[in-house]
Formats: sequence, structure tokens, C-alpha cells
Amino acid sequence: MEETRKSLLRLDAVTKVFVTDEVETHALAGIHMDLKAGEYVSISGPSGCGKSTLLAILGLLDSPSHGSYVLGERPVQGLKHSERARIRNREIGFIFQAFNLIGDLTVYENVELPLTYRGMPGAERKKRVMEALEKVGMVHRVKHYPSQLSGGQQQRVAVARALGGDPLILLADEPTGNLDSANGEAVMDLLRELHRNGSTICMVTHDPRYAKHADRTIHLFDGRIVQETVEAA
Amino acid sequence: MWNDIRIGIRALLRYPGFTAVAVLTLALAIGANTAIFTVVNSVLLRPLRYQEPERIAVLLDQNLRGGDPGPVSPANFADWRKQSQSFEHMAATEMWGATLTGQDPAESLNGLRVSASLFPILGVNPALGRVLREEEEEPGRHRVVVLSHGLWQRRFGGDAATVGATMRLNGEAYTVVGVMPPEFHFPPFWATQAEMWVPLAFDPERAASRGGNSLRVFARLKAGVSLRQARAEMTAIAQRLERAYPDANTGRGISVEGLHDKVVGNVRRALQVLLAAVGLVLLIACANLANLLLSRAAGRRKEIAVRIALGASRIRLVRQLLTESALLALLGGGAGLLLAVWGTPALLALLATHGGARTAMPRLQEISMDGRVLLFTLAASLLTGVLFGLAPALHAVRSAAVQSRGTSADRRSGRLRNALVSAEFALALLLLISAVLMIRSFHRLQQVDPGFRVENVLAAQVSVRGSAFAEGPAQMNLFRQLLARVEALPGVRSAALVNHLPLAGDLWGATVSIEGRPEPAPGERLAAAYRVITPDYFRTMGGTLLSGRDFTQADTDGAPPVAIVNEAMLRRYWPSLTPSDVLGKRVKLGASGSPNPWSSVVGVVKNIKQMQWAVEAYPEIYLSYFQQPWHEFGGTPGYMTVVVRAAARPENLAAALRGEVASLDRNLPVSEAATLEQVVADAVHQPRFHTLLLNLFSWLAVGLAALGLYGVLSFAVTARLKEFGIRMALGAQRANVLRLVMRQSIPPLLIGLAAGLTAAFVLTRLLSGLLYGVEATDPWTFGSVPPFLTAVAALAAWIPARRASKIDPVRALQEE
Repeated sequence: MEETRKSLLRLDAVTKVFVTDEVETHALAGIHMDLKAGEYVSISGPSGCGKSTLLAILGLLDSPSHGSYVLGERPVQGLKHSERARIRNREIGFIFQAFNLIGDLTVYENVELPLTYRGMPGAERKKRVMEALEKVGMVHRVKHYPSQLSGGQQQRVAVARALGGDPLILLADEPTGNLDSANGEAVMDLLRELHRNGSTICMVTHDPRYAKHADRTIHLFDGRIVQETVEAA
Repeated sequence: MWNDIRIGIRALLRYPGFTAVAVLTLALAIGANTAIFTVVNSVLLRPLRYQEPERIAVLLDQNLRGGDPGPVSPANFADWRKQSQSFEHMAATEMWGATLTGQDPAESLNGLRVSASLFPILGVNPALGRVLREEEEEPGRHRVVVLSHGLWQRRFGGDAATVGATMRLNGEAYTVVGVMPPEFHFPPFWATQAEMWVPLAFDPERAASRGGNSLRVFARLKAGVSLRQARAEMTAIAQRLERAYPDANTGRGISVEGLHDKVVGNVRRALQVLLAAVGLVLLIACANLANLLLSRAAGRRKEIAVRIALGASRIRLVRQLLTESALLALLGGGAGLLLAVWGTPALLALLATHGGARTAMPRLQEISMDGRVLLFTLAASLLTGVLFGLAPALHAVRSAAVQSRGTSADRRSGRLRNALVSAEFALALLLLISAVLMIRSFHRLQQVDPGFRVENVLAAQVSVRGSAFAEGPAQMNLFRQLLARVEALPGVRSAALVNHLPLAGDLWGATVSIEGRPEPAPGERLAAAYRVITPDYFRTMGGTLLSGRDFTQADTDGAPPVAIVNEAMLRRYWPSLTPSDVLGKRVKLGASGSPNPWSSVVGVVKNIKQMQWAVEAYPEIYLSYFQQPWHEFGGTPGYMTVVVRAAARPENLAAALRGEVASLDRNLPVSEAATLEQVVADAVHQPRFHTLLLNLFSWLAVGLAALGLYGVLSFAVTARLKEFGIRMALGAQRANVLRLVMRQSIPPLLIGLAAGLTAAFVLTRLLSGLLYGVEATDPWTFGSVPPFLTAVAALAAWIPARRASKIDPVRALQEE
């Protein structure tokens, strides 16, 4: 069953080298990775192992130094800035550790923001925003500003923002990192619920408790995949 | 306090870039203020260099139907002096020129004939010898002279034995009785190049005359008498004179004005405008610095929060921050003072004319820095320090305290920043609109048709006073010969003579009579300016003959008297006639009953500018120099101005012209040699100066305002870096971010433009007196400057906006 699923993204021999003051730092070295549609993968490893760099490349915020990256069915490693922005907007949903909501915008406006970059009509935007907020249980807070919400609520709004665009994949970077355990559990439950409903999720976490929520865990060390663990169903 | 200063110095050294920008901004603004204040202080504020100058008044004849006050007749002056009780002393003065001979080279000197009482009025003692005495006003005893310090140095080598010696003026021996101190200049307006003073001695006929107004009267108010009281008394005297001598005094009043007002009245508004302009520049600089300090305070919030946590009171912290801004202001003020020391001579160079004393800035030679200027700079610096430092200091302390409680004051800070940018744009718009109005006004001035062609004409005055050619036929022969020789010079196209060169020389006016026209009512008269010229004058000047002919060599003594009139004369006195219709009409100088002969009009010329560039020409009659009648009316001239049209650059002809004069008589001085281009440049000298400076200041203001907007948006971009990263992660294109930042500049810009337009609409009316041919609310200016300023703002906003659009989202997301 697993084998018949379509590949959603594939990295082949991806490396990332940062050069500062003539010192080369190999953040990623020869990463091969394949993610199927509907899969829930976690990436874990110690600090500095390359988790966030990998996620930035997956999210087209950064480009690999070498190797290929195919998202959907097209190679994306050499795209122009504007095309990458378009793909980020339509095919990728981000969930950040620090929520990264914009303080001057209301909950509604924060969720609506990526849709405005698509030039989507107002009525369609509204429908999508309300659906997304309903999924995360935040409809009652549409007019609130982020500073008026708890950390857990802010992260739910961030998840709604990621969902609103109906992306191919959700990329979550330590989504529980800034939350207490109760709120952390709640967010993880939310992700699990989304996954059950068909979302593809790739999550970076260093917390083994949360990594276990995923179907599969990729372990990184010094920029290399050192182990892959498939969780028991 | 010392500790605050020490910490302040350290803080300034820690941010050298910020300190340099702040000091440079302040130096430019305070330097400009200091330089302009130096001029304002010297010209408007510093008392005239006479004893109790506020008690000195100028009395002139005033036509009650309007117009500027003018000179007075000898008999009226005598009555004013006899009948008035408000003044301790009253003195008359009259312009006088003389040729100094007997020592090489002969020189044409400017001087004044003055009543002896002038010196007690001025209360200035001579540096050497004595001043004039009353008995020396008697004809025959009047050949004594008081010299200026400059003339004494220049022509007598500063020799103390000069006092008591004689000098030949206009061929007569005058005894030098005194030398005035170096700082003494009189008069401070009108004839500012006077270098010697001789007694005003009238023969009985002239003393009794109520015509030939040529005197300007100065008087010292008695202690406790105000100008208002003096005016009331002089009005009553004028009314008595009107009853007693209706022919000369009907409709005439007496203008009584403080000397200082008379001297600076024409430039007061312009200097006030310039001072206001640099004041606005300083305010813009303050707003800029306040913004810079606000930005810096945001970066120091943690430091200030730590200080608060350690127990520092708010007052203590505000004092510390204010000390830093005061230090900055003093540094900027010091640098500004240096700039002003360097810039003031440059200003003086701008103010200098080619020789047109009439158009020069009054008290030009007195312009210098003094203690008051230094005090002004110090006060401006400290005030500036408080002005730009106080709000950011209060804000920094308040926001640090708020932050320590866990919330943010960024929104309030943003509003303050935007308000400052709005203020900057409002002030910049006001200044730019003022400057553009002045530019358009100056452009209109330059487009004025003077009635002659300025290029390639040289003019120089040749004085015959006191020479063998001083009188009648000898003089005519001399000038005939001179013209012939000059015309033969290589490169000369034509040459002619005129008694007073337009825009540079004097303007003589007279009562005129027109044949067939009814006698004017008592107190009214037909008047016209008159100028004496030789054939080819209009060709040489590039004037335009509208009808008839120019004078010819045949228009001499034996021929019927002829005259040429200008267009203004035609319009005033023959309004229904065409230029051709006027030919053959007869006019004469003086009343119709006077013995002067009638002259037939043989030509009508287009108006040629007379005394002032921006003033329409009065009716004017041109008479032929080679015909005698005008000599009898106005007296044989002591000098004539040679005008020469050259094929190319006329300056090169000056030496040849001097050579030709010297070859005729080496004792004939040639003076005031200038091209018509220089004469015209002098005539529009003051508007050009005001326009230039106002422009300079407005561009400085625009630059600072743009820098202010740039600074605010740069800060905002830095502060919102993470937000831009988030937006990009969510799929924002670079253009989305660019637009977002650009849009942020719109509200402060629009508020600034609205406020600036309103202020400009109200305040540019103050410029009305300085504008020519442009309304203070000129729609073109008000319509074009705001879009221009918007474009400048867009450019200033585009730079940080572009930076924002180029950020690396990964790095931005890592920002704290």
C-alpha cells in the first residue's frame, strides 16, 4: 500500500555549504530523501545537525549547493526568486517554532495573508480563511491580535494560516518549541488530525516524544542522514 | 553633571557614524543660520554707527497722492528748519561730485554738500582736525572739505599734515579741515559712495527757490520727542506751507522716517524671509536628528531598562540623554560656526555688485561677526540640542520602562517618527514653494525688456569738472573729438554720449510743458524725466525708434530745437495719438511761461529702463547734447557717459577708451567703466541674491527631509525584517514587499504635503513684496512642487524598500 503512493518530493545528493571568511561549513552532505503524498515525516537530530537547513531547502527558502530537488513532478532547485515565491505560496505551508504571526494584523488577516499574494478574490479568501480557522478551532478569535492570544492559540492560528492555501505539504519547524507541554500536546494532536485527513507533513523536532507521532523519523547528524525509523502503525 | 558629560562623550564615540551624520546635519543647518544671522545682525539689528542713532530721522518731500518720498527744495528746507520744534538740529544734504586734480592720477570723487549741523546730528567726532562750521555755509567761505578715512589713506597716504593742506576739486582749492574715523560712512543709503563732505552753500537765488528739489534732510529728535510727535508737527508745517506757497506745495506732505528704517526698509522683508528660511532648515534638521535619536534609543532600550532596574530615576536618565544631545548640538554648532566663518565672506562676495551702490545691500561694509552672532550660535545650538533631544529622551525612558513590564511601545514610537517626517515634508514644501516662486519671479525679471540690447556695450563716465573743458563750446568740442576717436577704434561699431546711463546713473526730472495743452491746476504739473544724448545713442544702446528719426549731427545750436520722447510720454500726454502723429508736436522743459524754447518732437522711442529694473519707465524726453537750450535749463554737465557698442567683448575697449581720453587731456578722469551686462546684473542683484539663497536653503531642506524619510523607513525596514521574512516564507513576491514599504511612506508624506500646502498658501503672501510678475499663490508653483516633492519622497522610500525586498528570508526569520 505504502509503495503505491505517489512521491511528493525527492532530494538526491543534496548538499549545502556555507562559506564565511573562507571557511566552508557543510550543513548538509549528500542527502537523499523521498516523501510520499499523505506521509507524516519527522526530522530529528541534535542542534546544528542541519535540520533547519534541510527544512529551509524543502520550503524553497534556501537553495541546495549541489544535488537535485523535485517537488511534485518538477525540479525546483534552479528556479527564479519569483517562481520559488509562487511555489511557496501555493504548494507549501509553513508552521514555525516562534509562530511568526504578524503583530499588526488580526487573526483573520494573518490567515488571509498568503491568499492575498495569490490575487484570490475576497469572497474565496474569506471562505478559505474561515474553513482553516474552523479546522483549528479559532473561529471565535478572528478579530483578535496575536498579542491577545496564548502561545497555543497563536500556534493554532499559524497552523490555520499554513492550511488556508491548501498546500501540497506542511513544513513544521519545532512547532512545539515555544509551548508548554499541554499546549504542545494539543498542537501535536492537531497535526495528527490533519495527517489523518490526508495532509502531508514534514516536521523538524528534537523531541523524541513528538517525533513518534510521525510515520517515519529521519535522523540527521553532521548534515547526513544516519538513520530512518518507521514507527509502528 | 561632569559624569553625564563623560558618559555622553563616550556614547558619541561609540557610534561614530551616527555622530558624524548628526554633526554634519547640524553644522549645515547652524552654519547657514549663523551666516544669515551675521547679515541680519549687521544690517537690521546692529545700531547705525552714529550717536544715539534711534533719534536720527530722515525728512523728505511726500506727494500725498502717492509715490516714494523725494528730495526737497532749499526754501522748503529752510522753512522746515525754522518752524519745527521737535528737532535739536536739522541738516540738508545734496549729492556732489568733483574731480580731484593737482595730483596724479586725476580722479572723479563722490561727495556730499552738507549743512554743518549734520555732524552734531550724527554725533561722530573726526579722527583728525575738525568738522564743518556753520559760517562755512556762506558762499565764498565754503571751500573747506572733510575727508573720509579711506580717501585720506588712498590719496594722501594717511599723512596727518593733510589737515590744513589744500586739494584741488573741480579746479578750485579746498582746505582739508578734518578726516573722519575709518568706521564712519555717510550717508548710509542713497549715495553710499561719498568720500568727502563740503559745506552746502546756497547763493540767495537758490536759497529762495521752491523748485529744483535736490536736498535730503536729516534731523536729530529732541530727547523725549517721538517720531510720531515729529510727524504730527511736520504735517502741520506742510499744511502751512501749502497755504503760503500753493504753487509748489499743493498736495505735498513731509515724510518723517527713522534713519535706520530708511536705510534697511527695502531689504528688511527679504532678510527676514531668508532668516525664516534657514530657521525652517534648522527645524527640519532637528526633526531629522530627533528621528535618528529615536532609532538609536530603540537600540538602547535594553541598556536603559537595565539602568532603570538598577534604580536610575527617569529624570536622571532624561538628563543623561539630553546631555548627549546637547554635546552633539555643541559639536554641530562649533562646526557650523566654522562653516559660517568660511561662508560669510562667500555671502559677502555674492552681495558685492560691480559698482551699483544703489542696488547694493545697505551697510554691506559693516557686515561682520560679533559677540551677538556667537551668542546666537551658542543659543541656537543649545536650543537645537533640547529640541531634537527631549522627545526622544522622554520616549526612550518611557518605552524602556514599558518594555521592562513586558509590552511594546513601538507603535507610539512609529507615530512620533511619522509625525516628524510629516513636519519635515511640510516645512520642505513651504520652503520649496517659496523658492520656486522666487525663481519664477526672477525669471520674469530676467525676461523684462529693458528697451536696449545689453550685449557688447561698454559705458564709462568722463568727468570734465574743473578742467579747461568744463563749459559750453569747449566741452562740446572735446566730446566731439572723443567720439570721433572712439568710433575710429578697431572693433567699435558705434559710440554716443548720454548724461546719465540707464539703470546706473542718476535720473533728472523736470516740469514740462506741451504746446496746446491747458495749464495744469495749482499743485499739479506735467513732469517728465529728461536725458541728454548725442546722435547714434539709440543705435549704440540697441534702442528701438517707433517713429521719426534719431538726432543727427545737424541738430546743433543753430538748428531748430528738437526732442525725442519715449512711449510712456506718448501714452501719458497724447493717449489718443500714434507714434507718427506725435511727430512735430512741441514740448519744452519748465513751465509754459518759462523762457526756454520749444522743441519739436522728431522721434518716438520704445521705453528704456530708467532707475530701476522692475519699475515701468516714466515719461521721458531726450534732448540733443549739441543744442544749447538744455544747458541753460539744467546747467552744463560736469561729466558725460560714453557708450560704445563693440563687435565683440566690450571689456577690451576700456583701456583704449581711457587712452583716448588721456590723449585729449590726462587730467580728465574716466570712472565707472562697466559693460551693460554688468549694469543689468547690478540692477537685478538683490532679487538674484535672495533667489539664490532661498534656493540653496530649500534644496538643503528637501535633502534633509528626504534623508529623514529614508532614515525612518530604513529603521522601519530593520525593525520589520522578521515580518518581511515571514511574508516571503508565505509566498510574498519581492514586489509585494517593495510596495508594502513604499506604502508606509504615504501617510506621513500626505499629511506633510497637506500641512505644507496650507502653510505655504498662508505664508507665501509675506513674499508678495519680493515677487515680480508672479502671484504669491501662483497655481503653477502650487501645482508642480508637491508632485516633485512626492517624487523625491518616492526615491527616498525606494532605497530602503528595495533593501527590504532583497532580504534573505532565512536570515530574516532568525532575527530576534
